[in-house]
Amino acid sequence: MSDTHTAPHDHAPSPYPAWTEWLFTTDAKKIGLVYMFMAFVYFFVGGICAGGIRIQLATPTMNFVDGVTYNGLVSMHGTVMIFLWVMPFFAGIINFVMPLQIGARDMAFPRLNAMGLWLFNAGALVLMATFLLGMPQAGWTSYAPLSIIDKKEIGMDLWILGIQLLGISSIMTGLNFVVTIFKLRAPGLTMFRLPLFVWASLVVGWLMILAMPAIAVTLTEVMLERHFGFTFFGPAHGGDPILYQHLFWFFGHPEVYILIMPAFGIVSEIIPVFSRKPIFGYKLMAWSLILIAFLSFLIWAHHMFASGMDPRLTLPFMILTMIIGVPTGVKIFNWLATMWRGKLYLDTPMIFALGFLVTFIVGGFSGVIVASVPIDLHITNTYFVVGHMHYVMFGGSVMAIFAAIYFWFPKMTGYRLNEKLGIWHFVFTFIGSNLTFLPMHWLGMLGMQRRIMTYNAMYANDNLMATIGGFIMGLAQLILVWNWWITMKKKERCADNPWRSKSLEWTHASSPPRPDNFEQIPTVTSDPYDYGLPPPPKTAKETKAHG
Amino acid sequence: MADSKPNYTRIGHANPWPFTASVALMTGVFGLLFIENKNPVGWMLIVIAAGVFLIAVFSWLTTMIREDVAEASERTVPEFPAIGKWMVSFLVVSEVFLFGALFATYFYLRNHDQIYTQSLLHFYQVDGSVFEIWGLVPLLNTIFLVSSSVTVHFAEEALRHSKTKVFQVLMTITVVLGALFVGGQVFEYWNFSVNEHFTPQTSTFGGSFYTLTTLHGAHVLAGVIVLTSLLVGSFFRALSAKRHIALTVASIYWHFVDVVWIVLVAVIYLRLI
Repeated sequence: MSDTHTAPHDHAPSPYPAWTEWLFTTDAKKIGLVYMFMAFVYFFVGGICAGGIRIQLATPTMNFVDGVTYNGLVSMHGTVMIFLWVMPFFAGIINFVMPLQIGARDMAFPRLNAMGLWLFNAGALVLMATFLLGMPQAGWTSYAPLSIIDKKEIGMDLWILGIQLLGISSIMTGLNFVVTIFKLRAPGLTMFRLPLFVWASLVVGWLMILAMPAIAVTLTEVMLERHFGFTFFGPAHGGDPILYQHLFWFFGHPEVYILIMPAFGIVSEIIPVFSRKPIFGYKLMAWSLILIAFLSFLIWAHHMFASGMDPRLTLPFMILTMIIGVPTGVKIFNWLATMWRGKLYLDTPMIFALGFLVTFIVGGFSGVIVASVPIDLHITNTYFVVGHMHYVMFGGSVMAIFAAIYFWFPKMTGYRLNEKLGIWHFVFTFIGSNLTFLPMHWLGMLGMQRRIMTYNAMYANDNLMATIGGFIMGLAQLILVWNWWITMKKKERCADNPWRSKSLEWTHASSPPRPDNFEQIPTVTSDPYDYGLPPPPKTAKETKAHG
Repeated sequence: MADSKPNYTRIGHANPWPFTASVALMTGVFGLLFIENKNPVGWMLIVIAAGVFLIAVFSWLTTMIREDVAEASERTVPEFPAIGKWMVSFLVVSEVFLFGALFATYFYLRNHDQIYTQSLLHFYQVDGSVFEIWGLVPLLNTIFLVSSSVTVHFAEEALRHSKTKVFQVLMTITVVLGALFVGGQVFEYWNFSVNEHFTPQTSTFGGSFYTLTTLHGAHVLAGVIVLTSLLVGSFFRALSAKRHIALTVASIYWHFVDVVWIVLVAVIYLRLI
């Protein structure tokens, strides 16, 4: 790679007072940091909800909370973790890293980017208001008969309006990602030279653009039915609750991939760096992301096998769901092949990436199990599904988020998080999460329903185990907070590229990067992940310049 | 493709309006909740929020135009990477899914709602005469919208060839046609609800009909506002043959709104599918 193309940049000082620095900023890196910080705060809010649920479920007939609060905690745990933790964290990390990786100075639409950020914060505050005014009762899916019956329930209205704001924010953000990646790449950076994290960002941008309109329409229809006498879902006047499920899951299933695709991207970045090998099957990795995104729009009804929809639909949806396991399996084998005979450096980001691989494979397998109609009819709505979903969401997305935090922390701050504390964080998170979510599989097989607050005494031991595991996992996160705190206090500067990575954000930008990212926009002359290969031969021009 | 283009984006300009607009929207949401609880504070909040939001959007747009005019004088390439055109194309794709979800609702309920089938019969025979939603108003509206799509295209051509007067005349016609469409829509709603007693609450078909046409009408209205501001801007030399990306963006959007209307007529009014 060589530096050419001096682009003009006008880095004017802000005419606004200093306290507005973070509020009025249009710098993608600052916007990314605000996203990630707020997401991390909501991670603890969602965690406290989960703690409430787990205490209630510690014994068969615990009286920790009443039924209304319990329903509220279940709804808010799901909503907060999905919409206010994983999604905004990924939006933040993409905002920070993606422009650097493609050699751009900022996003294509910096102000629209800021609007996306503040609409996210607005929507999040609306959702937080439910804790004061009454929590929604219908779960994060808000299935129609539940969400339209009690028209006076203010928590439901808050939930709908909050999610609407978040949805608009996501569409704006998605449009920005896609246009940025298509139009602002550095010279020489062709589509098949993009780092896989950028590919994941592109695919996620598309998923946001295409999936979010469906939830906007669905929630508008719920609102019209709740307050204006329209009929869409209420069976009393000719509506159909199953229509709600179709519309919701047409959004909801791509949403699941919005939550996991950036994790694929992060792991694809980390494994080659710490294996000192090029990624195995680069093109296949990119195409499998595209294929997964495409298929994710065709498999929504696998959430509805037991809903009473036309049974003729179940077979095609089951087959398509199982097909999506193929590109996912391709990715897992390619990650393993990347590590095969590589020189592994087990730093914290790599440890978390390996943790991701292990837990995600478990979640992937249980996903193929629930995709099968005959099995699903028995275990749908049981703790088996809860276990599967948490293995994918926590063991997949959240593990990758931690990997990303440890990996890009030096890029964001110039300091490196403490390795020892990082390992302890991993150990307790890994043990805690498996202790929590593994018993859920057999609880579900034995027939324990999800979303219930008391249960048969035969499930007592496994539930207690899950509660203990949940608290180990939750407290482990305090290690990360402590690590962050002492690292920021010590202020020990690390090298610009502590991991010896070969992607643009490490090789051509300082840590932390300057406001316009690069002194000069680099020209890209090679593929990503060229670890262990001899350096490309110098061009005639370079030889001349360097003598 | 990526080789020849300069890397272009404005760096470092802090801007207060995205933040302000978001706070206004959040205030509006809380206003709605107060109204639902019959609390008069709600209306006050909504009015304040709407005012602040409009100010924010207006200031945001004027900042954009000012920068655009300032930078255009330094430009060597007439269209720096036309990111606006890409943006609006992807937005249109998103809107296809937005309308698609509503059409899906319509088709699903048409096939699943037993009461709907009866109510349909009921609707078409009010007082022994057949009530037909297709009529003169939607026909005129179709003519208005399709011809406005033609005029906006030739307005763009005129601007490209620096024929400012022709451009302004054609744009005025476009805006008037768009406004006539919105007027026709309002008249139709009044006619249906008052004369024919056909309201959103009447049946599932009523719900689908009104949500689809209102969403489309809102898009037309938004288009009229955007086209009007471009027309006004042209009197202040905000548009020129070298600087017409805003018009290109608006006209792509306008053609899309036109296409949606044709699908709407075919599916909902004429029941061709």
